[in-house]
Amino acid sequence: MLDERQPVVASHRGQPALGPAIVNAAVRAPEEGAPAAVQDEGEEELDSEGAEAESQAVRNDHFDELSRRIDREVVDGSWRHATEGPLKSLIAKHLGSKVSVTEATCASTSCRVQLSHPEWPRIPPGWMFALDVARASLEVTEAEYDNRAEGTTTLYFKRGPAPAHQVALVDEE
Amino acid sequence: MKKLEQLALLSLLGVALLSGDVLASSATASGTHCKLVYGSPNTTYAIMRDGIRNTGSGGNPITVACTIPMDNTALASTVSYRMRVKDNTTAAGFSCVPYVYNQAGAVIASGSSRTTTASQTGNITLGGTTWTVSVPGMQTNTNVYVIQCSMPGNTSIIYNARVQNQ
Repeated sequence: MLDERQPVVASHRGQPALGPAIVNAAVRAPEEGAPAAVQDEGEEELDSEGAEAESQAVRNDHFDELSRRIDREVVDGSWRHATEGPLKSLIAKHLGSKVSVTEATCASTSCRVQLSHPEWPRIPPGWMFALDVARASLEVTEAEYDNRAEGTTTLYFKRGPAPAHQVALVDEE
Repeated sequence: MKKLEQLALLSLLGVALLSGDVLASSATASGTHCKLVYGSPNTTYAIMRDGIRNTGSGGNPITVACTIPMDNTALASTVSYRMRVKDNTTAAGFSCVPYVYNQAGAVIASGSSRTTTASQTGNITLGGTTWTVSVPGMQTNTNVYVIQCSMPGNTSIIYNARVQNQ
């Protein structure tokens, strides 16, 4: 019988810290020069290039409209004051010197923050985590990523209350 | 007679909709799917049958990413997340953020964080209907749904992670 106290996978002790990683190898693009994967007859493709391009076009329209909306919105001065500067500071603190803020605009329902990261086509997955935890101190909730252009990312932060600690759903064992 | 049949059919349909999990699209993944993405040199963790445990000291958190297998499911444009955890230390708490990646591995959306206070211990459900992420673009079956967490030690556990249409 298996002893539940025995771990199935050995521990990580002594190994160097791991950097941010892509979380699902199944979605990685094939490496350059690697042979194309053999497709079994009848196997469904992950997605066709056409479908991804169509999805990207829908995303682009969405972000263009979001950007125009921020430019049209009446500005909530107190929210802008409490959000724009601190957001830029948090980005500088948590994303490091290789990512710079080229523009930050908060209106009344959203903020648009343009990031420049010329060394990477995309911000590496996992790098946003510390920032995402830290921004809980601000009145912003979800974020959407416009990363259609390599080397730049435009983040759209939705206005909303800072998340509360999870205290209501505690079970007593 | 025909009306009676129709009424019976409607009743059956109603019962079917009300019983069990009425959400058409959702997925739950065991914490055993979580992978370490960052830990200090002293990091120790274990994948056990009930999930992933940080077996290091209480104040020695590790960062893990819990990818939720979707099995060819396209969710709606707004999804909500929840995560069942055990916080077993007063030295630190959980901090978790939900993400959506596209099939090329780029982040396309993230949510706000959900946390436990350092002093809080016990079994806790993080998130719920208000822990939402709006996903830009078409809703494809190739989006990848992830919750990334900093989890405290002293055998704190992530039991499972869930994503569903809001």
